[in-house]
Amino acid sequence: MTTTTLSTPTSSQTLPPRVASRAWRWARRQLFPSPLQALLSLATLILSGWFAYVALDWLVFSATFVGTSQADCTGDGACWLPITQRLGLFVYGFYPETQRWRVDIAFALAAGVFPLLYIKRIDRRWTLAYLVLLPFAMWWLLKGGPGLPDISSTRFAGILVTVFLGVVGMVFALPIGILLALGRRSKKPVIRVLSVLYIELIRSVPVITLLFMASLMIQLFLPSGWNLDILLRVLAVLVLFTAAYMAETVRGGLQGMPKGQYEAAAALGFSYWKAMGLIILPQVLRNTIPPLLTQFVGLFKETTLVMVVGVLDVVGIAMSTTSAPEWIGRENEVYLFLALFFFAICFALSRYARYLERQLEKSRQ
Amino acid sequence: MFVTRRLQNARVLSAVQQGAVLLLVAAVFYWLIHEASVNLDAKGIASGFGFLADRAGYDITFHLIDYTPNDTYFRAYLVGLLNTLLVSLMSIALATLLGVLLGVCRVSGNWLISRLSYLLVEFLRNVPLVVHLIWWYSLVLALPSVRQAIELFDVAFLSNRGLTIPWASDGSLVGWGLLWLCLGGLLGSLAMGRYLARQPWKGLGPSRWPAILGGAIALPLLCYLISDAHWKWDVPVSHGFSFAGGVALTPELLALWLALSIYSSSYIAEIVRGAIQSVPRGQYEAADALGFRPRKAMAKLIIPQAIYPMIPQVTSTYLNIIKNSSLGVVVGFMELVSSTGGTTLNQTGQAIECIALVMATYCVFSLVTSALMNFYNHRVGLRTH
Repeated sequence: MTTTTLSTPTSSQTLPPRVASRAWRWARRQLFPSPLQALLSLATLILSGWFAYVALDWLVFSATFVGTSQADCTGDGACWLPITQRLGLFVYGFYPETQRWRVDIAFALAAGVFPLLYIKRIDRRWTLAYLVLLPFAMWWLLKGGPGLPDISSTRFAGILVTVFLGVVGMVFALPIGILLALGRRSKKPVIRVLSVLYIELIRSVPVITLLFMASLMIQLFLPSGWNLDILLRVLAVLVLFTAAYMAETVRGGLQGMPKGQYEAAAALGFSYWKAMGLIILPQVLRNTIPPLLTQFVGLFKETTLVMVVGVLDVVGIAMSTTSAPEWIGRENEVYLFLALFFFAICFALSRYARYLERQLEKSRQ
Repeated sequence: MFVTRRLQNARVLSAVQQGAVLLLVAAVFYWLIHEASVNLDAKGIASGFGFLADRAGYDITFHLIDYTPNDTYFRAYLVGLLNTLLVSLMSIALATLLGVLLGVCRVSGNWLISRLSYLLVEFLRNVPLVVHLIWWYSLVLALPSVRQAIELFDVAFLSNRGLTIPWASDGSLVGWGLLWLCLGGLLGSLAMGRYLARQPWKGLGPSRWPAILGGAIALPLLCYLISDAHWKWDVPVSHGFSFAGGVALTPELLALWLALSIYSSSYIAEIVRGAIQSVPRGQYEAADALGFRPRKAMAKLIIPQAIYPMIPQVTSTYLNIIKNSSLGVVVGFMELVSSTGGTTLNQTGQAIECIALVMATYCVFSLVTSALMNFYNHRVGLRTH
């Protein structure tokens, strides 16, 4: 019934004939191939349209964006004031306001990695050098050191912690992951067994148990007087954890290398490390950039778990906001903001990974 | 001179290197254990698992086996273990259901439905599980109070105390029933397998499912009829500030279940989509050419081929669900990590033992699941090749 009303000749005559027929053909194939499908499409259309209307109304049209306290939220829509009023806290945590430019530069440096993966004209050695220096530069900028005033890491919170843990964790995990992958494929039984044990043990336990280990157990293993920053402890856990997963990705890449490459290296009389460093690994790493990027997205999401051991990342700040008496009852707004923040970054990065993968496939042909 | 020549021998060199690595690892472990024992002595903590027999002293609201604060730490561990298993199994079931539904919608020929499910899948999987969890928890807590509880079909109540559902008045009946149900299903499957093995057209005969379902229904019924047990539903009744009867799924359990299932369903949806799309077009055309009806082609040709590549990925998703159930600690659901790794650890100070116990348990889950899936993989592999 719905198909007949839509295919009346008047509707196609009012539009330019070719466009109309093409759009109409597309619609008929994709949306209305049979009466049942047409009904389904129409129901979905109405339902999603209604949902979009209600959601937009709540999110934007009836929402409050300007004001200082909960009392300003008079409309029926969302109250975005807990976000706008606490945006500084969400982004920079308790970082001193006069020093926030340092965090901005650190963010910019971290974001700079992603375009570097794309530009092909840059020598790979520059990319590598950038990656190696990045964590140290970020630590220097955030924590202070020569030339910059020192800032206590207890002031680190919010997106600052999330980005720091994600980016620095990834950069440190990469070399360990590569070594573990090489170890797992080693011909030396001791090294192989140790690598396999490590990788499988880490992969079979939840991250939270490792984080608990870092927060509660490490003190027992260190001589009294040694005291590691909790932020660095959870960073170490994230690095060791990600390395185990990364080892499997790199191992996949190593297995995918044609045998001829190994034989060619041997025929040239290269030693093991020379063959790996100059012939095998550069190719493997180029091919594994997309899955490694996907792993970064995973790590970025895993960083939210540090809140369990008392490190205030962006989720910790959000939870403290919803439990603050002046913003009580605004959980939906705060958590939606949090979800959209992660969605925007993770979705963009996974699309980017897919794009790089397609580029790689093209260059192989 | 002699030593350097010996070191140039590849085998000797390799042995020396491996010995050095082993020695290094052993030295690190020795150092750690030494430091730990010194530190433990200083704190006056006796190492060992003896503490498991002590009185726990803390309460766990949601428990599948009888538990009071007077029980031992070991009993608390068992309660946590069962809670982990319960929430994992519930989430695996719901995530599979939602995931298959979303995955099928993703490959739907209907543009609108496939686009919308794409958006939904991408949103769900790109938001961290913690965010899902705290959001669902706040939503469950925002439900009306017990007095204004939402009544579902007059038998269940949804309130900010969780979901109260009817349950058998004699709890042990449920356990026995589940046991007979599984046994009946297994017997039905075995019997049908023997019958199918004698058929000339392997894999194209009647489906096993009716036999499995028949066995799963018939055996518990038979056992119930010949035993003197009496089944009675214990339907919850509202008493103003609380409910009498039934079983309450606590808000923590509900939030964890929903968050875990919904988050994981997006991964299963992607696996299902990939698997269906990986079946070559020629297979559809071949089924058509052989005169298969679309439904039969799906059931007998497409799905069996799509399932095989799915198994390893689905296994790892299920394992991830078990591991991610440890997030119960965020909302205070007393599962393995928050009972033994959290409260027990804090009360006794036995950090090494508690964390080792929790980790070992997860390793066992992982090994058992992998073993089961390998076994199944092997069987399916045999049938398709």
